[in-house]
Amino acid sequence: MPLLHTLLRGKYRVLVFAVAAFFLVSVGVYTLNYVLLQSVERDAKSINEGGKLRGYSQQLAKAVLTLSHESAAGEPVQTSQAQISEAYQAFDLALAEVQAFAAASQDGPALELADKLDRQWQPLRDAAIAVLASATPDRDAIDSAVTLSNTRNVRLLQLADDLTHEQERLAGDRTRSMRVLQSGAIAVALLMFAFIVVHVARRLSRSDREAGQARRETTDILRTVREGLFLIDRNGTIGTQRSEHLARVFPHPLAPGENFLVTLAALVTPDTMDSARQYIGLLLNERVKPALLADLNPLQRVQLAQPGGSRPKYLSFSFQPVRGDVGTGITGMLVAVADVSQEVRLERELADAEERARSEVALLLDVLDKDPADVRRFIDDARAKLDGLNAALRDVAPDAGAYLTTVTKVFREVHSIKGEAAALAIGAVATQAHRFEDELGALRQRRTLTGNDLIPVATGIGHMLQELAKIDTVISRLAAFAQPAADAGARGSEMPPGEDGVLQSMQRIQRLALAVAADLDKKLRVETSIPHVGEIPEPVHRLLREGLPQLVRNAVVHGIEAAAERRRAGKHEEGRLRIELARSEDGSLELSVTDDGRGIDVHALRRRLTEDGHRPAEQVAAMSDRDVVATLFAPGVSTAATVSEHAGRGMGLDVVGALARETGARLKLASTPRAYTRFTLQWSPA
Amino acid sequence: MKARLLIVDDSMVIRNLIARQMLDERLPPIDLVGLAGDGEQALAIAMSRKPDFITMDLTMPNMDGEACIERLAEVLPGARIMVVSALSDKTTALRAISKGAHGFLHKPFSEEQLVAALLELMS
Repeated sequence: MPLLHTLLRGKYRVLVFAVAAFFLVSVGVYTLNYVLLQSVERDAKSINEGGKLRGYSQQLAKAVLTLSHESAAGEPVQTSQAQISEAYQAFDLALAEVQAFAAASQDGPALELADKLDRQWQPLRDAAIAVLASATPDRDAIDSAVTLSNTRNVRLLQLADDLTHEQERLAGDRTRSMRVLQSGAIAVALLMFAFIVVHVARRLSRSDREAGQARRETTDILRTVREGLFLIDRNGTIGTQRSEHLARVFPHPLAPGENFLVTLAALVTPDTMDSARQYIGLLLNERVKPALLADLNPLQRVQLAQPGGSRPKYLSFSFQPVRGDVGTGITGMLVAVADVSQEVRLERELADAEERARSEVALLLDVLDKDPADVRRFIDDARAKLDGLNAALRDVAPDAGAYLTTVTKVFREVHSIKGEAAALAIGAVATQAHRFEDELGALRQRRTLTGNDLIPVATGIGHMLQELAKIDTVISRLAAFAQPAADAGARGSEMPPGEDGVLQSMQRIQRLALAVAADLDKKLRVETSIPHVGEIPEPVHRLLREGLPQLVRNAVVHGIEAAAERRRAGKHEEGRLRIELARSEDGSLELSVTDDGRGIDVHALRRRLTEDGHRPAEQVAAMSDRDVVATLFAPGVSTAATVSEHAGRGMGLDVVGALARETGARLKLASTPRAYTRFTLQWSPA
Repeated sequence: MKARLLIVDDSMVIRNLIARQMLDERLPPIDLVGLAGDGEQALAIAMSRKPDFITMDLTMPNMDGEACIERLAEVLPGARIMVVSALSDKTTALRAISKGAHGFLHKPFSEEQLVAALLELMS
């Protein structure tokens, strides 16, 4: 029934009606044929009966004459009587047939002829019956019969002939009508057949045209659309149609019949893939409202695993449930893929630009309250260090060991710059140096480095130089802005370093210590003691600038405990940090940094040395406590559990150790666990 | 007939915040059938008081929200559950929906957002 319904209502309706009409016309033609053939058969029979009348009439005349002769000769007449009886009965039957045909044909002349025949026949019939009444009929009856036979036979023959001709004419008319009707019906049937053929051909041609057009339009859409489009079924199997752009967006060919989810799993993280499967499963679930899932697409912006070195690629996938015919529900999904890498990069660049703008303002505020000479010296020193590092990068020998040594050297210098920047509270440089340290730290973790790994190192140095150039620009502008005041005799930026400089250094260090403590949520009191020490040589100044921040930071991060821990240890919750610069009687200068924190835990240090893999466990076990403590001044040792901006990279004391050697200082370390740590640097008089 | 609501959250502040909003004139009449501080309490109240709607925190002691949603889907399949959580990642939301949640509201939320989410849940 649904098929019939579809046929009667759909595009095949006209065709169905045409075929039905063709069928009806064909049945009509066959029926008409049948009826006319019956008529022809009747006509033939009627003509035949007309012919028979002639025969019976003559048979009767002959029998009557024979009977007359036999009677006259006194011969037996039974045979002739039998023939007469047979002939008149046959004539009766034939005449009844002819009359019936004439009546059926409703033809006037035929009826008239049949009537005449009947009228001519009846007297002869009566005369014939009269001679049959007796086995020896009387002569009068015979003669009467002979006379009537002679006169009526010719007339009957003529009438029978006429009737036969009339019937032949009638039959001929009917045959012609039949032929016309048949021809007409066949023509109608042929017309209808032709209509059906033409209609079907046109319909097929139009369907082909429409299908071709639809195919071309689909191809045009799939070729032009700027998204990767394809279909998947409920199991994730990829369909045959897809947009051309898909090959440009998606890094792998997606062959029809392949499973999209399996392909995707190799390109995204397992967590993302789990979420994606869950999301797609919910989209296919008819009971879950699509609005509920609108913002939960885990593939809305997803980074794809790319071969090493390639720029990261971000794709955006969207899924639209596809419904089949009415009642079949969701049969699959239309997947649209777009490459949003550019968009993501632009967003990041915008965020970076905003960050830079913020940092430039911060930079300006940072340097406004600093001594220009200090800032200038810092910039010059930092630039010199970075230039030196650039030179080292250029000249590095092409082997993994040399690469690692260079990266370590860069790390140390950057750490030193970070310390100075933090001491001067130039946050922008400190933050940048910290980020750079992150990258360098990751490189140092690698077993083998290649030349390519040094590219980000060079870039990082470049960024730091740019940051320094910005500060340089800021202070140059400020200097130009303040020129009249400087000309009026204010303290110049080129004032040689002296005790005033030392005092300022101490104040900065004090601020640094308090800032670090606040960041780590520790309570701290800083005491400085700088009695009159006379002239300070440049190497000592350098150590105050570059080494002291590291020592102080080290003391606050590693030494001073959090307030709660100090309370538990029975100490005042406020930690104490003491910085002293003094000249002894023999003229030597001594700088000491003392904290009342947890002291140096030699066991922890030993454990860390083993765990970090810097040295074999046996070697560490064989080292004396003194040697273990001495490793604090080697690169890459720290007792902090995590890396923060302030410490934990194990690089601060390395810088101090190197500076001590370079400035000719004697470095001493005294510590009691849970009580205090003191670093002392001593310079003998020149 | 009033809509029957159960509020599940380990924070009393949040429970009260949601409960106070029940009188908002934009919402249909609501009958507050209970306040639960964890998943186990929620299940017990849900079994006895048969709420139509449930607001469900995810991070709770004893039985967390996800486990509770899963159990509620078995024992009270007609109840519509809205997750109200500070966990804002998509994975958490997708997992909650696949366990049987019908809505998701991120903490912190405004009164407007809460009313809109409840209307959506009750639609």
